[in-house]
Amino acid sequence: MKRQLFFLALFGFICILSFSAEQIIRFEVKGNEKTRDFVVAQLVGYKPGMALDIEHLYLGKRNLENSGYFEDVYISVVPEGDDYGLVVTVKETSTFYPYFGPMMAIGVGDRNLLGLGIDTYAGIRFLRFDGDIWGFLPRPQLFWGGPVGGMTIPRVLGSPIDLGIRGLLFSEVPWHRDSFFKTLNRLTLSSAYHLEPSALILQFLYESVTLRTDDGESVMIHSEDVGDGFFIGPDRFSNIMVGIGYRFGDSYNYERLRRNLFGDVFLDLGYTWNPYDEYSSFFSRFSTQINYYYRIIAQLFVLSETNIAVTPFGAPPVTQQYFPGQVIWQDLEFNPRHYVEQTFRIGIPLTGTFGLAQTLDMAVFTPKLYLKGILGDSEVLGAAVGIGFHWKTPIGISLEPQVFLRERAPLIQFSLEF
Amino acid sequence: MKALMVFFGFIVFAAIVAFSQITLSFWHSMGDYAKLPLDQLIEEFNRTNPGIRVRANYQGTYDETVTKMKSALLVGAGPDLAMVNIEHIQIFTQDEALMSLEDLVERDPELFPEDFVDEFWQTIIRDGTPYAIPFNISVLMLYYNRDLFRQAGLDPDRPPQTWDELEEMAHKLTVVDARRGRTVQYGLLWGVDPMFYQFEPLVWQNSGDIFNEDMTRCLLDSEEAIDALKRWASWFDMGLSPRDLTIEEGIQSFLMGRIAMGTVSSAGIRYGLENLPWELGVAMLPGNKEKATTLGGGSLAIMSHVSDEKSEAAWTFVKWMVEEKNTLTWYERTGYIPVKKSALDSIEIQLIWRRFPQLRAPVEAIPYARPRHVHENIIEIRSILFNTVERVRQGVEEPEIAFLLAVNRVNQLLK
Repeated sequence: MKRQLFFLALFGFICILSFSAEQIIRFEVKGNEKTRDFVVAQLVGYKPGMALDIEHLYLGKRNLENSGYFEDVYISVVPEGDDYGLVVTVKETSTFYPYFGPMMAIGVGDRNLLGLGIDTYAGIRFLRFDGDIWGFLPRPQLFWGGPVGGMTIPRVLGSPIDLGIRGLLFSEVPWHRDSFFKTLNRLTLSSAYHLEPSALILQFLYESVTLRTDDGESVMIHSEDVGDGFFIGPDRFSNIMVGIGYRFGDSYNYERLRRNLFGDVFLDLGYTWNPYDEYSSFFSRFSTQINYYYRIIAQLFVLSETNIAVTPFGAPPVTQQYFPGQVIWQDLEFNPRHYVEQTFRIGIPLTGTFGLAQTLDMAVFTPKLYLKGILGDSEVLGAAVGIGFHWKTPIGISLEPQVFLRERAPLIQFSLEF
Repeated sequence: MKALMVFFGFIVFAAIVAFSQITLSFWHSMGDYAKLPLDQLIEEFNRTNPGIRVRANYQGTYDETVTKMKSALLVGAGPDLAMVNIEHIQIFTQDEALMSLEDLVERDPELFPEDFVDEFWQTIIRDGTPYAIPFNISVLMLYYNRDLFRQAGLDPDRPPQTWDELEEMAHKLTVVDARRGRTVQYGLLWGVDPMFYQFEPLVWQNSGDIFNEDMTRCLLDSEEAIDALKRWASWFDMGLSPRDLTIEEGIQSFLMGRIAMGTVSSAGIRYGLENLPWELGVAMLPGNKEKATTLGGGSLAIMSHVSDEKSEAAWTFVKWMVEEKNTLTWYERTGYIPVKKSALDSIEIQLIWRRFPQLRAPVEAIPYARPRHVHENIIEIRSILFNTVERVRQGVEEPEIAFLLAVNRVNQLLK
């Protein structure tokens, strides 16, 4: 009996070996001057002896294309005895980019620092707008507003995990119509676990804040002073927040598909305290962004963007409260506990000669119509209609001036895309 | 003074670079959406081959390019190399306008004729000599609207395999507004344009042929060809296909989702995916007695009048355009089939299929694809045949009489 079992086990083992998938036993990168080989191997998910699996290689290629390190990626396999070698041929592209950080921080970043596959960026705040010229043009003013910097390491050690860190040491941060944070120091640690094309996100945030009003006086406002849902916090406080999120859909390539649903969902739990007056409070936040891209016909598309936010319990400190619609309404006083913001963007990509572009790659101009609406728990802010004119310039930068008609006054915006 | 010298140096440097480059004039027929990927490939070639500069010029359709090239070559002003439709190669080889590539192919250690798909390689051989290199090869496919299939209760993953199934599905996909007595959705449009290439597979599928092997006689008066024409005409008679629309109008209706199935070149797959307002399905043409489809498209040819220096540069360009990676890039961005076996066997093509599954069907159709017949009077012959089937479609001529009359006229031209 024992002997029969032994032969049965041996037969099973031989069967497994015979029918095991073809393996990749060698890895080679060609065409890379800056990017280290191990970075490419990590992005493609190569491990010696891995099975030759089309789905795995497809996702690996997508990772390489989406990394921003390469303008072209070509994958081939070459026979190596009974197995294969994997050859990845890449054409590198410039990885430097202008960095536009929070609160008008401006700097520079490199997506692939020293070819190590680390996205690093740094910036400073030095420009603000105070008052106006001739009654309508914002007056630029130079000042020292503090530095910001951070890095993201994608696919750490070949795992499906990205790690990120960002720190900022800001001062003179406007947060209300006539108020400032005297200082705002923040450290954010984040990680993303990729479940292609989705990702699970964990985030930790620590911040410490001191406040003052425009007359330089410190403020001391507790939740009981301001009524339902509008808590500013003591004149100095610290805050930690842990968040878990889920990003879904293919946000990188949404324009390549005829219809695509993508977005994210986040739940944050936080704790705020002030070491000086023994104040402390727990709070939570929930937010989701749901986008739906639909190409109606030819290159005519509509993009629906829905932002929903809820504050289930507690009163977040002012730095973590929602200020929805800031860009359109520029109303920092509107910070409801719950809100829905809906935007429809309708675009018609055109060629250089103004005919409808045959493909998105041919599109040079894209006139867009924006329809925006927002609804909060305390008041309805109404709607705005805007037009944008997206232009892909020959030097690789896209410009889009936008004009919005809204309830108070027309608003002119400008966006840049690199 | 220093600034002036630097400026002068720069001018001299620019002049040296400009004069040391070989500039090649390349005429092609890729308009609209296919022009962009072609331009991108040429830009990449120019970037990676600093000694050569290829200037691409769009010359209109394949037929228009023939006319322009013939006129230009007469006055010695033709291009250095050109994209020539595979059925037009004969027109230029008889004038000795195309360079024989036999020597270049034989002494080139990097280009292996056996690596080209056999069916494609045969399209550029005349009297045993290669006169071009296959580049933009396509096959005629059945495009179908997967959304309309679902609405009609049909399985979109099971397109028609035979003429009978095609008719059966077309019936289910044809929608008549009973109140107004009008057809609001047609099931099928097997449209035929002046190039006539859409009709040829119908004859082949019915075990017939268009011409005899040595191109001395037209065979459309055969029972197989006439039956094919009758069957095709019956789709209009049964109301499955719109009779009143021109081919251009029919294509527009198909694109707008008013016709459920149609025959279109594989070269339009990426355009379809990026522009159609419905989900595109692509399948091999349904067969009858046998399966068959038409091989079409063009190849890259070097003109015989170019200098040795230019011909070497042109050869470098042609070889580069059909490298495994580049033929796959061209395929992924258009739908023209990769011309090399190594590309068809590559892992990259499977990654392309993973992203664009519709691109797989044309590759699977290769074993059934037949090259078109070639003759120096082919443009005139196609015109006669197109006008013949048009008269049948419009119901002004009977199939038997139509093809008998056409065969008489075509045979005159074949002599």
